Amino acid sequence: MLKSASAWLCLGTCLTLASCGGSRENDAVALTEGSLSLALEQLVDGTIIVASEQFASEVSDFNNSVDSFCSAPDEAGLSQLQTDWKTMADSWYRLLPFNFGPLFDDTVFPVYQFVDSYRVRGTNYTATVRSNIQTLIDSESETELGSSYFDGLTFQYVGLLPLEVVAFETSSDQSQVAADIVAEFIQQPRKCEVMEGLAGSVQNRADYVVNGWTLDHLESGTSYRDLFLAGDLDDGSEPLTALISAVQSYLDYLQQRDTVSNVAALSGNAWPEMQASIDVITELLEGSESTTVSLFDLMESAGNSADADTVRSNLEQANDAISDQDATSFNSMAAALDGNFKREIPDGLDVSLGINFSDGD
Amino acid sequence: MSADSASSGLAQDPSRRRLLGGVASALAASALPGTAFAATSASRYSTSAVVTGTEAWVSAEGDGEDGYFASWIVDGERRAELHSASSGFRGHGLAQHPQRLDQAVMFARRPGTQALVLNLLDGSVEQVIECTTGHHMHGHGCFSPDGQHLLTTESDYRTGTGKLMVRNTVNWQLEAEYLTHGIGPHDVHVMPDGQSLVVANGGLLTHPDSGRKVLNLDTMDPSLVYLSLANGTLISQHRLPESKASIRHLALADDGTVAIATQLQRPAMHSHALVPLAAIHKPGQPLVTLQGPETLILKFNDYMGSAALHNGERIAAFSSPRGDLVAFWHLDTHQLVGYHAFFDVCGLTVSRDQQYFVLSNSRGDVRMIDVRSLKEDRAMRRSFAGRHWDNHMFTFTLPDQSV
Repeated sequence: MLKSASAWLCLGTCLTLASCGGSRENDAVALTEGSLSLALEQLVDGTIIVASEQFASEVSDFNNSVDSFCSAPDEAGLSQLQTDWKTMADSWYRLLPFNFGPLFDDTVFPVYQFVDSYRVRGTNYTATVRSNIQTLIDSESETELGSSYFDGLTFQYVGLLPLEVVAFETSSDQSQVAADIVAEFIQQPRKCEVMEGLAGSVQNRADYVVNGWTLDHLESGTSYRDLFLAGDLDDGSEPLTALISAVQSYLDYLQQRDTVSNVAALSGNAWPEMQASIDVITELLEGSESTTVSLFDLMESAGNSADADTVRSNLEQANDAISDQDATSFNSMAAALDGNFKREIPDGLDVSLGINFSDGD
Repeated sequence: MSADSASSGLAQDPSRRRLLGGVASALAASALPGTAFAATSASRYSTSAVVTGTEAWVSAEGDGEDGYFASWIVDGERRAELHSASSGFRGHGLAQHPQRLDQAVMFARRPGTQALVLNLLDGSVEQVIECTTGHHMHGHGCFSPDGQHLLTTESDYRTGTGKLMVRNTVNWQLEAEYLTHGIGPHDVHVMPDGQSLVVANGGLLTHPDSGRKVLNLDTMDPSLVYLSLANGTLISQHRLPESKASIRHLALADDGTVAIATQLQRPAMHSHALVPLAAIHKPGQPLVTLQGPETLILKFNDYMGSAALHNGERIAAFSSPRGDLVAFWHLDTHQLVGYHAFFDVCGLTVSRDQQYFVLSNSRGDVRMIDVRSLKEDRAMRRSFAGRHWDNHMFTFTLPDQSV
């Protein structure tokens, strides 16, 4: 995977973690196949799988809030429900940058789209969702609106958006007044059925992703973690390439679709969601508390501190844009980071992402 | 330049004879541009045919670090073998001489100005063809059915005129120029009637002074044209609904059906509208775009790199290295019938025995997709470490004793 031996030679005096058979804090790090593998293992275990488990956990908490609220709807319960929706959505935005493997398990029907319909191609399905929810509430059908019912629907009708719609406004006239929302839940018990079914469906998807990362990916009998770290990915891609490409694609999506201006409009939660993504991308590069070898460490050890500094600067400016709630600046920095994941980061890690078909024929 | 006949280093495989096909087509027929599938599809259903010649998968190969080559995989005595000839430029498409089966030409990628005439038996370069002043190549070309002429897609970059340059195959001197009636002609094939040509006018104006930058995004006008092989007369011209979809690559069925792969110039569209990238054209009918689920169309990332066609099963395949994807549509029903995820895949051909679509990527990997199930035969995976298959792979039949 490494493009040249230069990175190895220039660091001849450094300790190589892989050759030491272990790692210790404050060891100097050399960019080698071994240290890169170790960094990948640590970020998979410490960041990506943690993000998938955290999302599943937050979905579970939200489901509990739904059950609690629906047993006796009141404004306090609604407030908790809305808070838990925001926390759940934040955790989704910590996972979404890693849209490969279990999250992108199929070319045509990837599981991510059943959680986040906007991610598919930046289409806002709020009107569609509202109409469908109202139809379900009004329906006199005996159809049970459990999670299995919603598992069978196309992506436009399920996921976080319809849960936001049912939790943050009335179906009848889109009132966001808490008392109105609670009153509607009381007057229309079927609305709770809809919410419970939708929440259960998201739980099924979240559990599926965790299962894929940790136990069994696509009925292979092997976890995606193990397949990923062994470099045994079904599409033939290199693990680091798959990771870098996924994050780059996500950053491209953020700015191309002006995501911050279009998602979580009812909950007003777009900026915390962007913060969650920038935080997890920062962690991906800097490492988590348990990390001994981060990608930035490896870039710096290979003499590519300037590349690392460029990325750090852009992350910092993205954080500033979030603090200022400046969508134009944020999109600009997402575009800059997109470029970093195409150039500075692969170059800094001395890896090739493949032949250049980008201006192809 | 001599051949680099380094072995691929593959482990011996009991099924190696299947690697490059078991049942061969009639040798001469299989080499005719545009009619190869017609001949071989017959043999697919007739297992008593005599095996003649050696199957080779041929491709431009290499990268900026390791250099550029024409490389080909053949079935050796003990294992698949890889042969290469250094080109000195990044190649793109290739064409095999219909009579001299040991001879092939590799065409330079835009805006290169050379083509390499190769001997595929010994890897020697027999001739380097140079563009005339003010012209550059577009990466594709074809031989006339009688082998007397080579036609290459080129542009006069001084005027932006798209042309087919016609050279004889004795001393490779220019004998004629045909207008393609469009800017930036890319792919060209002889139609199955042997009398006409089909050309993909990509519509993109470039100039060597500005590298590969497209200079006419606002006015681009891609088209599919049919020309007389004898004199270049325009027979018909066809356009897709989306003018920013550059028509790039073509694959032909023996009934004259043309599968069309496009590349979208998204910056010129000023919208995120989803655009189908593949199309079918049948003689006397309008162009038909091939639809699919939006997630799949999105995955192509506005870019199809190659097209191939299985005449027997009536299936067209399209690859996208930007989407790490190959998808298959039925030629007649226009229905999506399958897809396969494969990292940085672009090369796409059909094995000589017509059993497989053969896929190649920039990591040197080769995969085989069963033409009936459209599922990968994982046991047939091959990897050529350190090799980088470029845009196109072609199935040629070489004379015997080629290894």
